[in-house]
Amino acid sequence: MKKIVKLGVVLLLAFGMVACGKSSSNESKSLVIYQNKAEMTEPLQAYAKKWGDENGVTVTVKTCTGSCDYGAQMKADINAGETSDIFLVEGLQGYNQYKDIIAPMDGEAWTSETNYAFKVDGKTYGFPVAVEGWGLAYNKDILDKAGIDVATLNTYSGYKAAFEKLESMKTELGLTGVVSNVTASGNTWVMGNHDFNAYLSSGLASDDRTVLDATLAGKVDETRLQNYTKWVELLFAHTDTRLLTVGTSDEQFALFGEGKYAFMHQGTWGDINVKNAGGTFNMGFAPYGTLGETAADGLFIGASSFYVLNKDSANIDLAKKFLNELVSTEAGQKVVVEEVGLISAFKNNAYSPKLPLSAFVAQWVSDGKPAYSFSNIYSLPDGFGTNGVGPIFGLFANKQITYDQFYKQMKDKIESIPTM
Amino acid sequence: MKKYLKKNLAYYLFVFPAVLAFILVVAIPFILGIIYSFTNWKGYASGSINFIGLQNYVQSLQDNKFIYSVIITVIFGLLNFLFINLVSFSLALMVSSKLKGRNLYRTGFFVPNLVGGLVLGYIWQFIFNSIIPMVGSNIGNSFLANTYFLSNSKLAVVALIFTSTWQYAGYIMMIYYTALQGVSKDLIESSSLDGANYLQRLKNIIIPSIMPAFTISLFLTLASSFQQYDVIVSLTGGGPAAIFNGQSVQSTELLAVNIYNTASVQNQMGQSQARAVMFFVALALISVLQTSITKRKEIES
Repeated sequence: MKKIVKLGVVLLLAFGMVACGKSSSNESKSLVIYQNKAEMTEPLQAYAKKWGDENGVTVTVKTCTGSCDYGAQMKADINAGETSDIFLVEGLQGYNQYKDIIAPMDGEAWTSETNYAFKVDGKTYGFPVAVEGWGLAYNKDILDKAGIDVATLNTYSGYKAAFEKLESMKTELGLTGVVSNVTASGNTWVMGNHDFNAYLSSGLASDDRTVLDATLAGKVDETRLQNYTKWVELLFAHTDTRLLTVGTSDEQFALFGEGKYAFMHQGTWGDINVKNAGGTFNMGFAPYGTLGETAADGLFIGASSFYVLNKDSANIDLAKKFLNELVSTEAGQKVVVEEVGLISAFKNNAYSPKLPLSAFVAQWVSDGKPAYSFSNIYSLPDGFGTNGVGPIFGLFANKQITYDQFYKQMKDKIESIPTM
Repeated sequence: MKKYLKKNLAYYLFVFPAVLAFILVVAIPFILGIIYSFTNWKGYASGSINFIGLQNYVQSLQDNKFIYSVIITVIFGLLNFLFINLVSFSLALMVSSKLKGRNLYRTGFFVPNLVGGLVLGYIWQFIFNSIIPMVGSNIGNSFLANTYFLSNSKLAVVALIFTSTWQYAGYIMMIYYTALQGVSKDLIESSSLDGANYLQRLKNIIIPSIMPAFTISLFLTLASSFQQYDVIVSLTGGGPAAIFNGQSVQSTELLAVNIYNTASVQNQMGQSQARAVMFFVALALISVLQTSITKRKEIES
């Protein structure tokens, strides 16, 4: 009853606001940016204030992180007729949700400086916030002590040998487990989005959609899925049960940072947490071994979040100018890289991130090493990674299903995609 | 007419704020909600809102996850309902006996009720994930040491019942305790003179005398058991996964959580409304049925 009442109240408010919200906002010289990255908040606010003062505009940076529900808040704002001038979407799913109110940005100066712009049917819609990447993060110091060559970490057997060696030296190296990994509810994105993306993208050029298209049509590549299942089994066999079944991603970062795990199944966004846990060792990423004995040579690299323009904004030119100057001016370039510590998505940005995981990926990109698609998973039906296959990883981790059942569950799930 | 209005104006004025609030926050949203349950509303501006008849209801009933939610909610609701009442009635008997330190116990049992559900969920999550295995390994009990309650789909439901009982039993205990104070001392004394033992007194005098307390307690616990939400969100997050009809489902995703997820995670506002309406109807029926049964048992005084 309480829930129903609550939902009812929201409905009522939304209803009331549609009716009376459209007419306000006459102050033309203001710009509202809405985003959901906690680490971006302060640097972006400081930059926005300075930029606003120089251009005679009041720039507000609204942030929604942690317990704030970005999607719900966006819906409320839209229904209230108070959509921000610039807001953030996460890949194709986010775009699809708001596509009716997003303006294209073709021909803007920044588009020629990046390979990561968000495009649909050849039109540019999204300004990449930053580049992120992931593979299996490793603690180089521990691997060196165990005498493991990073170059062997790209096939199933390469990983198997390394994991078993580390497992046998656990006490010596002070390890709790080998791979810091989680599957608990609320953390299903770790395996469901990031690991499962390997099934769709590993070994393929970043614009190669063969496996993705087959998956969307409900067709399973059996050999690929078998190899993938072997990889998951291998990963799960080398994580401490507690962390794997009931742990959280925060613990995952912390334990890796403390040197209790040799590997971490996470990406560049973990930098700050790892550092806060005291992780000052050498680290890097190795490609996933999801292709059986075929060596994988790429990390998953791309942009996941994009700034988009509200097409009904009264200040759309100002918004465009703001985004362009974020790329072209030195102060703007510094915000993302120097102050937030992310990897810039723009070629003209000469700064490079200081924290090790991001620095590793930035180096990987500038060396021109292979990158697999980061975003294929987001082309699947909404929530497929976290709610569709995510719980299946949990079942496997809890040993509630066997290897064969896991394979079958995954296969069934993929085959059910066309009906979703 | 005029005279009538004049005479009753004060009544209407006094009742007006409450009625207005009720209409604004309960009646109108409720009706709107029912209307939305027949539409394909997604919750954001894009696209138009169309009436799609009973499609939301049909789709919900075909959704494996929703069916599982219904079943697990009924199982959890009934178990939790029984367990809370059993525990709180026993506690009430205990703190109203001549036990030493009973005032301290009474306060102690009530305190968990003052802790918010979310916080409580996190506290117990820590206990289940870290403390119990640690205690297990220290006392050499390998079952406790290697069992993570929240990682097993059946034990997670047990953990949830345990936590919500811990939260709610103290509150219900107070209702029973207050009622127990009102049981006639004369009856008790004369029955013991007649040689009735404690169990006989309990069955024939104490329980019949406090039947109204049972009505209210059973009603409260039944309703709250079926609506459990905040503790689940923080304790298990709906997990761990389980297999139902050959497909994976979230083992502790009770109806309230399922409805929320349908609305806010999957953006199926209309369908979520349809589920909420069905949930409401079911709850209303159960509550009416339960109240009318216990009402019949209350003794006339």
